Amino acid sequence: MGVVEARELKKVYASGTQALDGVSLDVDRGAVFGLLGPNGAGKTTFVKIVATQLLPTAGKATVLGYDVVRNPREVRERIAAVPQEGRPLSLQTPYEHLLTYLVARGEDLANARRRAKDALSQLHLDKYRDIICANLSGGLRQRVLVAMAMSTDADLLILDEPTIGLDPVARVEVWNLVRDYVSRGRTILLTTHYMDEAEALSDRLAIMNKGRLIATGTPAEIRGRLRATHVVIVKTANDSEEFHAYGRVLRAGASLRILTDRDGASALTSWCVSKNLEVSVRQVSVEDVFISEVGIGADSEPA
Amino acid sequence: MPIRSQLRAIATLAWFDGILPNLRSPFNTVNFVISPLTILFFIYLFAGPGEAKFAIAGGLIAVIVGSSIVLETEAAFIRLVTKLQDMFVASPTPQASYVLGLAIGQVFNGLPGIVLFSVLLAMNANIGAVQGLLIGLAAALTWASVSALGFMISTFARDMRDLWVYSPLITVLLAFLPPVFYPITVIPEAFRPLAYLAPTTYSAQIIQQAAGLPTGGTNLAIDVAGAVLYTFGLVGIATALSRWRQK
Repeated sequence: MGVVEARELKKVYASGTQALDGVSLDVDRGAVFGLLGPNGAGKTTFVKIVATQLLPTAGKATVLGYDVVRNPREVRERIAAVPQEGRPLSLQTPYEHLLTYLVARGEDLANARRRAKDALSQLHLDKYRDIICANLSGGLRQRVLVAMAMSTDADLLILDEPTIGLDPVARVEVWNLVRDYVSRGRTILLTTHYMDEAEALSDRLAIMNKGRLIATGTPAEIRGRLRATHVVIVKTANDSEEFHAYGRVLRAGASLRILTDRDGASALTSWCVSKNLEVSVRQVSVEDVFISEVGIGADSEPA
Repeated sequence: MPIRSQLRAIATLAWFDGILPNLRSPFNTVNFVISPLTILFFIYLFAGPGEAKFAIAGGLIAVIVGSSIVLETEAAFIRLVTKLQDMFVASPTPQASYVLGLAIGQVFNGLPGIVLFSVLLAMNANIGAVQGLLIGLAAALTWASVSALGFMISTFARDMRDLWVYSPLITVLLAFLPPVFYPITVIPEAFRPLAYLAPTTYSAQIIQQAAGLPTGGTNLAIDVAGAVLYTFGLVGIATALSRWRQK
């Protein structure tokens, strides 16, 4: 049994916007499952339904066997969720946030105090525990919310864009917390639109676009969809025929990405150098799959 | 969740969202007492000490209305801006514990005003145990009905701007326009039934009668019944219509 099982989940908002259009996926126990997609793909709608914050229009979702619509109480006892772009209250300290959240969830006071202190220590927030959140940086405030959720030791942790707006150091700190949490046998469902984050953190991931799943699997399986091993990135506005001879060509902003094999990458790079074109080579990543599957405008580059 | 855990959750949420911010930003409480005190001042100045006793009773109601209706913006802020409410929804915290915790917390906004007007009332009227209980009942019913109204409105807000207008509007409609600061006898007889559309009319008249003020033959039992019914009605409507899980 998966920790999360969703079948043909649909959501149409009162405004008529179809946010989910038949999403089915399974999240395995003890793993990080990443939901990747551009803004408006339906990621937040999906996790809000799983977190019992939003009702679906059709379809079914269960958490540890409990239906999110019919058994919300049982689901809520087993989950904790961090909302997208949330923040703690300004005049209260991190310790007060954790203590209140734990007691409100039903912990007794002594247990809540111990858990709050332990969580703040694990998240390296102990030296900030008695500073009001108004005086903390954006990264620290985000970590307070993550600490609130992690202090519960819930079976399933739902993190909606947990690193949005964080600097690279703070992002890596959150990544470490995620890995540490999962190493304790817990499960994390996270959404992100950062490709590197999804690839680095997720045991399995799903790419969503316009309310539909367009790819699921391990990062390696996702990369395998491209039938290419390397990507050659050429900075040029000219989409000439020569590039197509080496493999599939994707436009990504001011660059072309040519998906090819090792030999093709070598030959194309030499050719680009001979033509004085700015060129770089690397192995294919989830980002390339994303661009390939979702498509990208000529003037936009994924984060 | 066991009842003991729920009571602990309510107390902790009230401490977190009511006591802590007021201890760290005590001037916040001035906001809730300044308008009723100003009205008391002008009524004393222009109508004299006798009428000012009505303004003292009204001030108590007005402070409770002002500090309770602020739950509307506070709950909306926690839901829409900090998004902490989403964390509580996705947790075993019962909705009732969450709302009660926040609602009790808002009482601390008005606590200095409640104490001030209670002391003024005690100094200007003969308040015994029964009268004290009646005043406490009126205050509690006002708090419960206005808090229920405030939370219900908060759950429908799409943006904080939706709410900026409501708190002052509701405070005027519930605390300043009805016969809260003045006796109902001031209103022409034909229009008096309109005053009873406001739940605060009943609460104010309970306090006025408990303080021995001349209310022109109002009936205490009817006022108590009216306040109780209004409170149950508003709490019931709020329970039915408030959105904990969004649709």
